Amino acid sequence: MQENQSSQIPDGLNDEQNLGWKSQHAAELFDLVSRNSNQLVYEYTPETGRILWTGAILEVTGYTPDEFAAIDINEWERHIHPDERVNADKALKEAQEKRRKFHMTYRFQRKDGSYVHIDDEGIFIFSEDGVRMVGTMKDVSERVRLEQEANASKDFLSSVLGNVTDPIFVKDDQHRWIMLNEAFCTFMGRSQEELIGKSDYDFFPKEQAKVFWEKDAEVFRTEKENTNEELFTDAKGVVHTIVTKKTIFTDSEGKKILVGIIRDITDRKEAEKNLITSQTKYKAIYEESSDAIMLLVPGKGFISGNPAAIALFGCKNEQEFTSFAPDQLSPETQPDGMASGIKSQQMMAIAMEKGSHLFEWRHKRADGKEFPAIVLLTRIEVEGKLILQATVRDITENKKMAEELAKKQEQLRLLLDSTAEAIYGIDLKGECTFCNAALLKMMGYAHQDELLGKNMHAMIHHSHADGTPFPAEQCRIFLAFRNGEGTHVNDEVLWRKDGTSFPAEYWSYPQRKDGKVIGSVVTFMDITEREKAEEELKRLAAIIASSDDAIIGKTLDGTIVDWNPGAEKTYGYTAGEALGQNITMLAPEGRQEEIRTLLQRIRDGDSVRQLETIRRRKDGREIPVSLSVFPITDEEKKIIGIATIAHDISALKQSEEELKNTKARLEEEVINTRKFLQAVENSSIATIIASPEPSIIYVNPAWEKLTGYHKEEVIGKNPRLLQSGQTPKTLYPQMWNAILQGHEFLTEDIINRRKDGTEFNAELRVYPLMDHGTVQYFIGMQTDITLRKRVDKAKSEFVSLASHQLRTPLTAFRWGLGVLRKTGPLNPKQEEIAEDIQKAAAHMAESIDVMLQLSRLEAGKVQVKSTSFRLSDVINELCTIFHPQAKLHNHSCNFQMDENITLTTDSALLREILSNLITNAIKYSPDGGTITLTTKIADKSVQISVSDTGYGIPHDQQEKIFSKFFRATNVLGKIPDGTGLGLYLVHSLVELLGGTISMVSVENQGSTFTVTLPLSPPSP
Amino acid sequence: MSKRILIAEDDVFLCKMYKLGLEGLGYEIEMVPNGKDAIAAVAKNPPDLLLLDLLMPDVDGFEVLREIREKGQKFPVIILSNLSQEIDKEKCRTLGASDYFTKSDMELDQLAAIIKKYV
Repeated sequence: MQENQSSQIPDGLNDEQNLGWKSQHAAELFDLVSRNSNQLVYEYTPETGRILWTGAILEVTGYTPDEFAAIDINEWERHIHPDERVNADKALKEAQEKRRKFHMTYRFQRKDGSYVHIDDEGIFIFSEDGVRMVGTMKDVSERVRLEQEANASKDFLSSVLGNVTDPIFVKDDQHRWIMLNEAFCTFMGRSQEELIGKSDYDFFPKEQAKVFWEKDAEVFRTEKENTNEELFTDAKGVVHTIVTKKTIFTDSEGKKILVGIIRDITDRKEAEKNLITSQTKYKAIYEESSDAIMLLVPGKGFISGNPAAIALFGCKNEQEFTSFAPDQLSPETQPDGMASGIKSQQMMAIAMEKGSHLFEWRHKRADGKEFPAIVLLTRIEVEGKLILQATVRDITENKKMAEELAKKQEQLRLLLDSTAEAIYGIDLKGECTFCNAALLKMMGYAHQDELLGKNMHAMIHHSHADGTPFPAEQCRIFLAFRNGEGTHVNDEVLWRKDGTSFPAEYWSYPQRKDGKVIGSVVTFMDITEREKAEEELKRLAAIIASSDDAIIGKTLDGTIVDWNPGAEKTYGYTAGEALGQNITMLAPEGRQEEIRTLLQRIRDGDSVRQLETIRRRKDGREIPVSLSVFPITDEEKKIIGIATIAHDISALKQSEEELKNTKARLEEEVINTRKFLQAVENSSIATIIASPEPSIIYVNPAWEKLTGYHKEEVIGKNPRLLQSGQTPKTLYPQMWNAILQGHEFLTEDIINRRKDGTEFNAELRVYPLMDHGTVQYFIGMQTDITLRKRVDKAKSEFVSLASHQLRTPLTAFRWGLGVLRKTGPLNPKQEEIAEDIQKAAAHMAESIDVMLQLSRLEAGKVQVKSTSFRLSDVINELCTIFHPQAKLHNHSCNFQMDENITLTTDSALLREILSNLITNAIKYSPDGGTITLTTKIADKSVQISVSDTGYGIPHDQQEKIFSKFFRATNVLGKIPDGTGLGLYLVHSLVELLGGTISMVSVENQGSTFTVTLPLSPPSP
Repeated sequence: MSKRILIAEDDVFLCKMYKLGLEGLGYEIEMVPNGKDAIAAVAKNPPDLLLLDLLMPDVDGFEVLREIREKGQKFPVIILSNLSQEIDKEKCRTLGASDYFTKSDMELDQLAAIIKKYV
């Protein structure tokens, strides 16, 4: 920056003078940058712990520079927020130890006890003189607050207002501030939070507040715009003159609000006042100034000198001073060789002509000692005459000043380079006068020479974000110059050397010299991250808005302040209905206390995750919800609100319920299965389960016992391993045929072989377990019926033998009676006995026949031999046989038959069935009845009915008529020779032929037996 | 010369009845109590007609019938048995029985008429 500053250095100075001026200028610039950036500059000596402070001490800390001078390293630490103190100490020590830059943001306690966010950056300088640290402490509260606001605030209006430099406030009709901008807060020296909701009475002395109040009231009443000039004492006790313009607006809710815009005109007032007091002031300056000031009349000499001048020239008093001619106070020649007398004449002439003239001069004190000085001659008018005022400054201290300059410049460079904010200076033409390392880094330049002297707008601010050109005339930095105002912009982009851009926030501060704007210092920073945070906030807001979960914000007492659409969906209340209500409105009957307890827990700093409870919707329905409740905290971890996320778990609950039911069902099934398994395991029936392949997958202990095989030997094997080869060959195909079609198969004809080779008769029942038409498993249950078969055989043989042995004597009875009758006529008595013997023998023979047939039937010995034949043939035959018998009892026979019916069945068995029925009809009808036989075709079956007009069967006994040994009570006395086996036999035979038999009977009217047989046997 | 009828019947009482019933009808009647004797009797002197019971000790009626027919002897053989099942009747027909009657259905008068048909 050194070189470029030269353009502002007044012409005509030699190097020494230049140095002096530069030193002064550097200090000013240093101070300007510091103050404008709200920076404290410090120099810390670790050895002593002492810190030298300069810059914006009062602004940042609230302490005066004098008070703050006492702050050493320990005091500094004590002012840091306790939460950050240890870290700060550690970081500082580390920086020194590792020779690293110290950079930290911490909260620093101001004199008034409040905290400001400080951005502290410093570097340690290690030199021969020892270690010292130079750095800056910058108040970034504003920035932090802005960032926080960006992250939290939805109120864009306040940010709009925040960019207006004039303090603006909005009051409601109760004179309370409801909206403020930053400038107003600064003006009041209070934070927005402290001010909102309060009124003038809370911050101003009663009298002053009353004035403000009355003026507001007047504006409210008249609704006319009003401008007042008021005196106002700020928080620091400084009196300001302010002009407040107040206007009444009506807001969207129809309420009147007062908008006030304040302009601080203190400075203007001050200037006016100064004008009035300038003479007095001039005198004071003249008297008290440390610069030597004297009045000089060209050609005449000094007419007065102030005390500093008298002292400077080593005179006793003003009288002695004015006695010297100007050239007597100079050596004979000036350093350039010119005679002092001549040169002084020239200098004065220039000053008289130009109004003022600054030049270096070599003076001589009264004691003859010479000294270099800078002299400023200013033409002034005193009582109508033009004279010169000379201000002389001894510049003997030049060397020291040069050193001072070097040091200050070094400090400034360090300061500029150590700050993270990019800083550059521009002159009135907009050309770069200096820039710091952060800027170079941020903008992608290697060296400041690339920018110095260049138009900064053209370099870094040439286009808008969309790439369209940004004319310099529209640049707000330039606009600010014209008004001598600072500016703050955060909605533009800056362009790097490589052509990329980034969103930036920048501040420009006018740089003044002697009251004139000479340029501007601009600081800026990359706010990509902040914009990202804002984006994040928007996204977060979108997530909250679109979440199905109810997200509810509450105050500490449970008043609802946030209510997202998910909450509306979950609870049925719209945001309008819910906001301002207490959260307990969601509690079902008797759960208010639960909510209150929850709120207390959160207030105590606890949080609750996934609490399952019940809440009531607007429509009264109670729903299960899962709640997460947690506190909302501010920067200081203070709990300022409560947030709840609620998830409707009705569906979850329902599926849980279903799950429970399923589980119960499964458990029941498992229990049943276990029971079943137990039953099967303990069953005495040998049971086997096989897959369709077939391979054995299970056998029970009874099976193991029966077959002699152990379970492990047979699992996975084919059940065929039991086959003996003795079973009829046709049986297995029949069995497979049946079970593959899903039918059960039952047989007693299996002969199986045990492991030990012995054989046994088995009754086998096989049935398939089907699933959707496919066989999944077979279950086979077999019992050893070897013994039964043997017994059956023995029984059958016995019955057969017994029958023959009984029949033979019966034949002998009959034949004997026949022979007896032939020997000669018997007397009536003898004939009667002979008759009885004959009947008894016949009854016995009949019984034996039936028993024999039954025993064969039960032993399964009756084989069905199907042939096709005409039904009428069989019936005609029976008619022939039974006609004589019927005639004997005067029964009329009425046999009607369809000649065309042909059926396929066992004709002999059919004959036996019908014979029995006809015999019964004849036997159980009083003489002179009618025996009717009819045939009928019905759906692939033939119905053959035999009716009589006989005794019939009592109603209460009808259901037993087909059981063994049944005899109806109404005929017991009348018909002694019934066996009680006839209908049982008929029933069994009909079933054997695949038919059915039914009966209709009315006592003393007769009975009808109907046999239904398939026209052809059912396919197996 | 009167016709010779051989009756094979193990029941003594029935044998008596046969004798009584067929007496005086002019037949020469020979009685054997079992199958073995029946075969022997036939071998010794073939009858004009054989009344054959089926269930007899030692050699049963089926066996007797088979041997007679296997030897090519053609005289009529009438089965008179207590066995009433079709299967037995069928078996006898196959073996060459001339007729088959169950004793329980038969009266002595009927028997005489039947015999008359064959001799």
